Amino acid sequence: MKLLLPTLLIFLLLSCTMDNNQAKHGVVITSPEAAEMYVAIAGVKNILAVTDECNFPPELKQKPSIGKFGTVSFERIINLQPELVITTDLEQASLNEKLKKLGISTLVLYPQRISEISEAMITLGKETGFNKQAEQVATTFKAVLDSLEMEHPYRPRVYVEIYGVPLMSVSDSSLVGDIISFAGGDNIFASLPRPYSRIKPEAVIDAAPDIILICYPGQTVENIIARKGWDTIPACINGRIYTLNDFDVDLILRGGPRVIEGIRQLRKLFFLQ
Amino acid sequence: MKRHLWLIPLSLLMLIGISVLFLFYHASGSHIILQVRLPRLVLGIFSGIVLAVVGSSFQVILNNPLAEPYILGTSSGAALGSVLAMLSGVFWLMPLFGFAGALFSTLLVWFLARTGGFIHSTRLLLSGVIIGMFFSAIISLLIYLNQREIGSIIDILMGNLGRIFTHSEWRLFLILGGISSGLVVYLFFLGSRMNAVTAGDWVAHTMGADPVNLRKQVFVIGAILTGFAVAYAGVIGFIGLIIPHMIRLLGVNRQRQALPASAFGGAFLLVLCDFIAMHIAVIEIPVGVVTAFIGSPFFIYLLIKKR
Repeated sequence: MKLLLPTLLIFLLLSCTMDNNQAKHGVVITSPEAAEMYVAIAGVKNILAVTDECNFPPELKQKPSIGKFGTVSFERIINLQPELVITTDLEQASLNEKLKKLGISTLVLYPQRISEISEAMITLGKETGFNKQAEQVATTFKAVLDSLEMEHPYRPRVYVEIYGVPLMSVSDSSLVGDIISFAGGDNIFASLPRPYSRIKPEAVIDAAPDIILICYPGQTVENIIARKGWDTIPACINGRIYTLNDFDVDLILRGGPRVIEGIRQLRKLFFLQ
Repeated sequence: MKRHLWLIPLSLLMLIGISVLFLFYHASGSHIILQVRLPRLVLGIFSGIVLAVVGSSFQVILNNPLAEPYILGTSSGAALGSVLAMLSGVFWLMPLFGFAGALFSTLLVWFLARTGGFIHSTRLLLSGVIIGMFFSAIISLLIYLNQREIGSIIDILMGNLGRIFTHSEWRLFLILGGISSGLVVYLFFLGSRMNAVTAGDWVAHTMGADPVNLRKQVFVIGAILTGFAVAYAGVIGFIGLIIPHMIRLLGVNRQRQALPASAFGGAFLLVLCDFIAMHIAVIEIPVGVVTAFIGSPFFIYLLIKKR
């Protein structure tokens, strides 16, 4: 009887070894932009799991989930035994630290300029054994980008509302700011102290933007116009407020190959082409 | 005129002074002053008055210097209500949820503190702290589960007067502000009965006041006022604690004088703190942090001076 409990415990411990039926070689991706880059280079085949936010291409929805962007399950990652975990920085900085402590190989991709996207894709190719494909995708990306570059004699003043409560916008040191500028817009908060920062509503009224881009769900044009004091802003007077119904925000928030489409999309809004 | 009687006009003058500075400092035009700064100033004054008046009333009726909406769990209840409304996407219902949360936590604290028909003030404070902690734990869980909304939740927990009003929200705020002002005036008329309670429940009975009923009334009114203030401005500590204390330390003991002095003093301090929060750094900082930074050292100074 005395031996029964220890024997049971040992039996339980032995039966708890990892379920290793899944592929040993493969990647786990925690950030949507990294997922888009990876799929452009290597397709979806080697992806073991992704976070819930990785929704492009739609095939990723069929992949197992390792949790949400901000709350990833380490147990599920360990259980999958990935060759590499591809993450991002900033909001996932603490996740990267923990993965390092667990001895899991991690690649952090965080392009903050358009020019860094092709570099990120080449690095991704090197780390995953898809060098040639990565270079091909990066070269095409650069070529299309070059063809899109042009002088803009008129640059509309643009206000990007990245979040509403609290009011937040982007500076030109952020990827979104860089995309706005490349597309021909003049960001009214070009020089904020941080890439993504709180702003004061009166600064928006003072800056009198021609265009307002709302980058989060649940906001309507009517609500923006109804804000006290905003009725003098040219964008509100001329109906140049664009919400998620008017553009695909993922194309300018995610530093992946689809940024090209994001630039084209913004040009249509800025210059009504 | 006795020295302390000057406090009411003096605090009113200080409030007018800081309001003028708040409205005109670095303002680019009348449009900004009237449409953006004036609503923010009105919200600051309204919240400052509510927090100080409720704090003062709680401290008197409970005969305890620590009593204020934050310590008694009322603010946590209001914050939880507001956070729930925000996360459910019904921003316009935040005042109602805030009020419901404040009232619920207050009733819970009241129920826990009641023994044999009487309220023991130490038991009440303990219940308030415990309920406050429990509600804070729920808020922490909500923050963990909704990390994308963290900025908005921080605004509720650390206080933010920079709310952007739409025209219809502003009208609703003015209506609720009007009702709240009526309740503040009602608290003023309860002032002399509150004073009677400070002498003890038996003495109050002999003077014709009903302490249990009075506490109930003040508690419910305090919950309503705190609920509205938290829903619009977030949780702002210290105003409800230090302003009534300062007024008492300066020699005002009668509620009929202490309440108006606390109201103007609370509004002055909160508008001053919001002015600092807006202009001290490139990025605006939460006003609740400023009230703590300014309030604590000043309160320590007063305590040492009066030792």
